[in-house]
Amino acid sequence: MRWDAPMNGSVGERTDPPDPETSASLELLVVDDDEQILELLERYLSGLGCRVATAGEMEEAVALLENRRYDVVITDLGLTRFGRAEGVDVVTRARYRWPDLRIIVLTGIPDPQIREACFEAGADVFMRKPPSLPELAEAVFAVDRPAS
Amino acid sequence: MSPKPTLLDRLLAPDGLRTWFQPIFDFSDGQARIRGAECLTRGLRGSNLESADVLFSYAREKRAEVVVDRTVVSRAVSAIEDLDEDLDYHLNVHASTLGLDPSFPEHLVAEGRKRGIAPSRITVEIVEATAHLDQATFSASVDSLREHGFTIALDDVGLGRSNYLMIYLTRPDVLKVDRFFVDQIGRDPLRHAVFVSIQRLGEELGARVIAEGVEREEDLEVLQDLGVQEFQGYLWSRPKPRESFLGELGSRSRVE
Repeated sequence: MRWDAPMNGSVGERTDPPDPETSASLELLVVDDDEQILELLERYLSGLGCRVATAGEMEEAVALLENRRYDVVITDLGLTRFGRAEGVDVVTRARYRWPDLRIIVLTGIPDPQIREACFEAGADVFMRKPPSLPELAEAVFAVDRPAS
Repeated sequence: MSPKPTLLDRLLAPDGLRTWFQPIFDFSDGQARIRGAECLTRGLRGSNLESADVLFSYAREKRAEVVVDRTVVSRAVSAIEDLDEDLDYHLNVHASTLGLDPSFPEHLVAEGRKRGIAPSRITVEIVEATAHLDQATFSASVDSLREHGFTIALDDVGLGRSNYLMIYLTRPDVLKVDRFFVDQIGRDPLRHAVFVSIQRLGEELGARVIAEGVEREEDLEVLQDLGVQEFQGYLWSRPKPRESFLGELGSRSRVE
């Protein structure tokens, strides 16, 4: 189910914590070439009880997805400094390997065509970077709810 | 400022790939004796590539199978340099690498020569994970390995791409039967039937059979009743770093 997350949030907002019964079992893969963002998201999502793996390259993410089952993948779109949207490849490969996986795309590129490409590749949620952490958490725990 | 090294750069650096060992046991005289060891690769410590399955998937995604396999065997040959000379050491090489790199056999010979290790001490275990294989180059590489004196094994027989075509192309000296057909072989007539068919094929081809992934005494008994003499598995030993393997060698007798 497609869902465009609200884009007016800011990092650090508070929201009700997710249900620990649900969150404790979630396995997440976070993909970003920015180590600081990876660390931030890993710390935040681990703090919510998720088990978080991280990958800094498209190929590393695909290699993990080939061999491991995750509940949710959160991927940046631009995974190199060369301007390509490698995150679309992550989405395509992840969706092919795990049809039931939840896929959240983060991007600083507000391009409607790329957004559409992500949804066509199998993304469930498209969020602007930097994401509001509470909204990201909401997307992680309720990603397949209908658009509001 | 020099660019930050990529994950692949770090993997290929001197401490990026480590060789672990899992013993292979021979029961031909009724007792478990170490006949050799499979050299298994672990990637960068603390990284996602520490796991071999993720590591080799990553290498494929980076289209770096050849350089990674070349580095893997270089590290392994280095790791066995001063180990027991009477043991067989099994090195894993991807079929796709042998299909892409006709000079791979020479690379392995040269690495062995640098360390004083003759091809006769090395078994090349051929594994495969990809669908596309240059059969002509692959066959020429396997022929070259055999002519140099390496023993050829086919790994994971019965599963994935270790199929009849690979047996035909490889003409192996050793068939390593995948753990899937070993686990609970005594309780599952179908697994038993598949194992026996591979064993018969091995007899026809003149290939030794090694049962991989032995974890239960009851499976070992069934396999021994079938006449299998070589085994590998957690029942005796998990893969371990070189120093731990050296300790195990010291505490066990080996095939004389």
